[in-house]
Amino acid sequence: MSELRHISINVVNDICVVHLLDNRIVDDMNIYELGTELFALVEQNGYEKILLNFSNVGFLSSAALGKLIMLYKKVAVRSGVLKLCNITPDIRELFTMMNLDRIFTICSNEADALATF
Amino acid sequence: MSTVGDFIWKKDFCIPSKTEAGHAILDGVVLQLQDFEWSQKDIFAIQLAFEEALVNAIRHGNQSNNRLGVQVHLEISPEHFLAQISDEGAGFDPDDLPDPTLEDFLERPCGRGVKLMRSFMSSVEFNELGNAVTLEKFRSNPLPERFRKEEMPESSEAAAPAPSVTETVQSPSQETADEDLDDVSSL
Repeated sequence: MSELRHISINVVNDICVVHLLDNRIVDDMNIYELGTELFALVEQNGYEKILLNFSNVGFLSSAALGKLIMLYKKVAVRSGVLKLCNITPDIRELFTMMNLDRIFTICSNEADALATF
Repeated sequence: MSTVGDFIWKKDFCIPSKTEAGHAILDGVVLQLQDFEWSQKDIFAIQLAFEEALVNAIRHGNQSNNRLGVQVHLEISPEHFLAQISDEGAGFDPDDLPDPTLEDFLERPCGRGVKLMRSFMSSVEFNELGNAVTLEKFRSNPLPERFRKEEMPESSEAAAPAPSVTETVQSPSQETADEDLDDVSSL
């Protein structure tokens, strides 16, 4: 895998745990690069169980949501599982308002999420 | 609720069609909201809507054409946020956008930015052409005492508004955009 600038990963059993590194996910280029890094986990590395940890993320735009939705679709088409955790209340509200909590499984923390894969 | 009339921050900008320029304005907006002790929840909502409106104007309105400008008018008080953002594009009909929260459209990309604006603001109004949007939000947490007119001593130095609060900068031309951005960034 090429150098990762926007995520760090560690694998727990067969689950790819991804920490999003950017506090604000708004810049066009950063969002594009983030998408490329996330999609490679599925398309190049073949991970089917992915946990996104949002503990560093304080703000994100609709364009970033679009990348997350595209990641969800790539995982779903492979019958994989994508979960999210450590989301701030503000961002959680954002997901709820956009009805995205219907397609994303959102867990309170990493341990809880790992226990439910 | 009555606010001291002097506590209003007004700014006008004309920026090139670059999101970086918009982000510099947004940084200044956040600092001003914090200075007026808006809640973190309200600041998050305003950031979100303002970001989406700017990106819409730059990317969809002006097609990221740097020769086209984006006009931004801001009025921020301890109780009220108003932003008018207009681009030089052909406009669009916001009512034509699908509702991205509906089951069939959840996974599609269009309409999410406008929906976010409408979800997080008190009001969102587009002009007839659809190339200008007005965002408004009213403060949700109680107004701090220092901003209440009836409790402000007339000659109190501590209660006097900061100089930046009453400053109004007009920047009708794109040539002055950098100067304005520096001004916001330094707040």
